[in-house]
Amino acid sequence: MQVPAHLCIIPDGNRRFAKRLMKAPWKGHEWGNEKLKDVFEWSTKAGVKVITIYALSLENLTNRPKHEIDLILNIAKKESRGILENKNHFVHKNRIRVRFFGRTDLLPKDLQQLFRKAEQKTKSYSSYFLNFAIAYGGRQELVEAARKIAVKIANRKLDPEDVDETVIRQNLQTNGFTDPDLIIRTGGEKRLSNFLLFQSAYSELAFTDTYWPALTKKELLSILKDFGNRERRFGK
Amino acid sequence: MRNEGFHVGIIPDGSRRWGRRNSKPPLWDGKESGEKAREIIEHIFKNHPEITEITIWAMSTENFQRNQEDKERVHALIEYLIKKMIGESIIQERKIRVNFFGTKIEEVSVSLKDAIKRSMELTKAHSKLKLNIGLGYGGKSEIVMAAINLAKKIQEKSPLKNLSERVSQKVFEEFLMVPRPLDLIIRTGGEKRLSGFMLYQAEYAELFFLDSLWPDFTTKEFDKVMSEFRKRERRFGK
Repeated sequence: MQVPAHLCIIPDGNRRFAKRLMKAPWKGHEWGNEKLKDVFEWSTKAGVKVITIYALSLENLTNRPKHEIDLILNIAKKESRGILENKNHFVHKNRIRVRFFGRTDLLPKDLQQLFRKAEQKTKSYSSYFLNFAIAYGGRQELVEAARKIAVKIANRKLDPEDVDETVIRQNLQTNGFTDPDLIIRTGGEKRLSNFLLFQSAYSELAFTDTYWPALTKKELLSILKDFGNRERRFGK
Repeated sequence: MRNEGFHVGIIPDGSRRWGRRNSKPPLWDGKESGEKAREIIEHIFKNHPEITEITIWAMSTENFQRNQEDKERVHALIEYLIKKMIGESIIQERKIRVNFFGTKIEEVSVSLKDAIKRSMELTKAHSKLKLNIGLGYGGKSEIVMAAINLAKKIQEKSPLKNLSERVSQKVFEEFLMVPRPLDLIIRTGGEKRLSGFMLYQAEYAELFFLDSLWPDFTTKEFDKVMSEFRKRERRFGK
């Protein structure tokens, strides 16, 4: 079965899932975090090597209630600490290199530090790669790339004639990652919500109504199988 | 809430497969695809007042790598389409502004280039409704061009000082070919990907992937899409 080398996930539906079960929305995020570990296991067993999760968008950061953001960031804090302090953390067991990208500079300083340390600690792993898009916005990332390129051109470090797709990529936060092969969005919505707009140009998209914490192994494998059957023409 | 209506994007995929399925000769002129575009565009502007802008992807930058005969046929088709739409006065009646965009417009046939120029001239005063036709367009190319043009322009004003601050999202968007964000994108032909269509503008667009091959797409199917669109809950990250 042809699997995506790079799988991206928009894990939507945590709050609605919790509401269904008459629990507080924050409980949904906790379950969502646990689901990530399951999905990691199922996908990598099937052959996926790189997974990128859209953990928090810039729009979420500025629009969701503070207590919800704090909850999500606390989960991130807990997991990062786990990576640093617990040698049996699933990241070490599976030798996963972890990376965080997005406007992490907008997050609390202690969390930023934990992220940097977790990245350092897992830098030498190369079995699997797990990337978290946190405080991330695709449009903003593109504008930032344009900004950097404009500065380089003004400083005569770059010629406008040499600016092409590769140069754009090099100035994106995902520089070094391959483009997503498949983007799965759970929770029923059918949109990208400002996620990896440039990088997802030729990504296959899969949508499911299932809320993220309710995603089963069967469904995930079925989505991966469907991907394997798709004909990708890359514009030709 | 926007009182400026919705901006719909269309990726009309599936014509080649339709041609093969319907035993069209290899040199099929694609007339059915062209007619379909005209039918859908007219249907939208006649019957969907809530839609004020349509962007349709006639040809991608990759399509321009196809052989010369293929390209010429598509160009002839587009030329026929513009003339028909303007000739049948829907463009004038509904005061639709026609805009062709793409990085390869210079490479099209002379007569098509003429037709493009004329249609844009004729309609430049129209402002309520817009029809954008992408010719030799690719979202990634658009962004590359925007970055280059922005860098060149921004240097003109004044040197290095504060250059970084002057590149805001708003400024960047001025360099896009179609600045307005999309509210929905419809792709016919069964594939579930955007293939680089309006990447930046697709930020929060509702996506509709339909199995119908483009020449089989009906106005009824379009109405169904709009009906579903209205039901969807758009949260924009909230």
